[in-house]
Amino acid sequence: MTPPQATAADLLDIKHFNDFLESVLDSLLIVDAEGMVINVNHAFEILTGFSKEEIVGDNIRRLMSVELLERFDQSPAKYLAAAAGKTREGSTRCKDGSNCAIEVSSSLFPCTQQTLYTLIFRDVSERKKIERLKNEFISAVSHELRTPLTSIHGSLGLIAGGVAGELPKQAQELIAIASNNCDRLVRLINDILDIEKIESGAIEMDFEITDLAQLVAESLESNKGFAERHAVRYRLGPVVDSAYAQLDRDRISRVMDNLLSNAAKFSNPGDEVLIEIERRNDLLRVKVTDNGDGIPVDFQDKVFERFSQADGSDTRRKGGTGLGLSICKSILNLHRGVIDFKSVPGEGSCFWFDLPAYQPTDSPDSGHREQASALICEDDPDIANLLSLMLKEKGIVADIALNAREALEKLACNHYRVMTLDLMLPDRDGLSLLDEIKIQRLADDMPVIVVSAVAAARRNKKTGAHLGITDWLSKPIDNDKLTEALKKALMDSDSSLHRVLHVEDDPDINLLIGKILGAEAQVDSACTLASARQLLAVNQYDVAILDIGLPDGSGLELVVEMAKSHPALLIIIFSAQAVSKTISDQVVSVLVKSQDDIESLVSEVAACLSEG
Amino acid sequence: MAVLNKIVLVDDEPDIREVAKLALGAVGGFTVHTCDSGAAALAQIPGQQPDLVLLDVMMPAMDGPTLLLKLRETPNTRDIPVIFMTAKAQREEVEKLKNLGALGVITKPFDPMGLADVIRGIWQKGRSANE
Repeated sequence: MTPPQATAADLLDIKHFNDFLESVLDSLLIVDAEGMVINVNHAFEILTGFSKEEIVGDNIRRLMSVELLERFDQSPAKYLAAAAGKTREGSTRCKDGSNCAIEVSSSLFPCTQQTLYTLIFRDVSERKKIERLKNEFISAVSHELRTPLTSIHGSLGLIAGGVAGELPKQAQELIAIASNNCDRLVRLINDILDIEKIESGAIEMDFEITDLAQLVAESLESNKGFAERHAVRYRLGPVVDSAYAQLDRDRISRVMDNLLSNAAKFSNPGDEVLIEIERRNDLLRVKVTDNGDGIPVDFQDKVFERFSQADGSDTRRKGGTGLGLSICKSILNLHRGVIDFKSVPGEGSCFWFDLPAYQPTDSPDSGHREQASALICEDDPDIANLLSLMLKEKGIVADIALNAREALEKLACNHYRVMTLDLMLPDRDGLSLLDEIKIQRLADDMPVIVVSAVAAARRNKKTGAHLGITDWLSKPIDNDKLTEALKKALMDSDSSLHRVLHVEDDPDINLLIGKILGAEAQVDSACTLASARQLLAVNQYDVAILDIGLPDGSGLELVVEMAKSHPALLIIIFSAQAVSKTISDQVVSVLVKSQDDIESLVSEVAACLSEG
Repeated sequence: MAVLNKIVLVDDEPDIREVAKLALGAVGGFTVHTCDSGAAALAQIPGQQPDLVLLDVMMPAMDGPTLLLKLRETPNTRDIPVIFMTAKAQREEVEKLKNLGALGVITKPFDPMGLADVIRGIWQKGRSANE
């Protein structure tokens, strides 16, 4: 049957949308919270051989391998909850008993009465076959090339080392040539194999939270000998404190080795190479600057390509393989970082790379990230993950505390608009935790939604009112009931406290204003336009304090947007820049950073709040 | 106090046997005996009672790890320390080999002038870990 020719308007029609789903090449499934299959599309039938009639009403466990079944059968609901929002590799059983390698993504299906999941199966068997062949090839090549090289490298090394006796001068020179080139071949094979692995993603990265300053210092130390052989000195500039990043130590050390050895190789004898670490908002930058030959202008766009060397004859003598920077670039890509350079021929080059900085969540600096407005206190990580996902879909960012102690720590450092609470925590009873929070005054006026298997049994209106509990929800979690509970909780909290949005990328000013104003208003900080917009979309504010110079644009853009979307919002501009009359007419006041001090800002804000 | 004196080297490649024997014997001063296969090693090691066995990983018929397991099965060869040598230097493979109970892993190609020192270092670290 030929499919009907649909127009754009038609596609809104249910039947055509159905045809659309049936035409998709990936398998689509809808399953309920326990794994019962509710519906599947045609691609699923083709992939597995099971017809719609055969699989609908049956459980998805029929498609799972024995190993997965072990975990799934322990608690299907928990298994599916944990998988929600993620993409994983796996396999599906087919009707004929065979297994097919697939990539599975799972997401929450928006449904009002129950928890449902949408699953997508993508057939990756071809891709896996190619990956396996490639890995086998890499393994075989690495062995076959290195075995004869071991003998060559070994023999030459022994002769050069004098084990076969004293050699005539010319023989010594010839042996040295053979030996050096053999070394080059060994390095080249290592680099080629590395680059293939990195680019095919077959490489296993070992990410750890590392002190970048310490790693850089260690690289300088281990490359010192090389620098000395070129009569070059490495100097470490002033280091920013707290330079932590999540990285693979071996790989980043390799990047450092490469940049340092290049800098030494292309410097003039007696020169100095400067290494610095800087912080740029959420990124850490490591810079390696030399005053050597520099890179010819017409070569500069090929620097990171494989086997490209500016001047073949010269640099080959310097011993490079031509792959180093290409490998560095691949390594930085795997870290979601960037590597680049600036160079002036005859003056020198500066190579630098950026890595995302690691922000421990409890540090006072965490005002940089998007502020979480909810706290989930739940000891089961899978349920906590599911709750977090549900809140995210409602535009609410949440922090997770897996026990009472963590909850207390997080409440001490952050302000939340609402908290969900499991009653049965491993280290303390949930209600007793609320008592503690009240005694320590960590979260006055914060509404609490109890989400617990024993909610019905423990529900007590009097205790609840005293501890700020606005709702008692039972498990499994009903998404609709959660939405209602949140609406109720957040509406109540809105009216009680004034809310200030502070858009500022300087962390010190953020912290200061937050502390000063925190007593009489709830201050949400945003350090970029993007996060400011996100906060404005979800929350109501009484006053906004705007900086103009932000990393992703001008704060003035917000003035224009807010005039339309939040006309009642009072805006105060607090910036180093001056503004035009048109802008200053639209805002309450304009304060200039160098002239007006924090106190004037605070009085302005207080004045606005008392008006509202 | 035990000293590292006698090493048995097992590798199926004759050229590597010769190079390694010189590197360990002439350069390092050890007494070196070589075997060209797992079977030969199993026959000779019990009698030789070396202080250390240097074991190639990829060998036809019987590979290094299998030979190690067999050495561990017999009481008079069970405690002889073993170091692997391999051309496959990928991190995951090195970890797997160490987990089999070897003192360490040397990657090929190796520096012939430094091999003796490296071996001595690994052997000494292994001894102090046991004491």
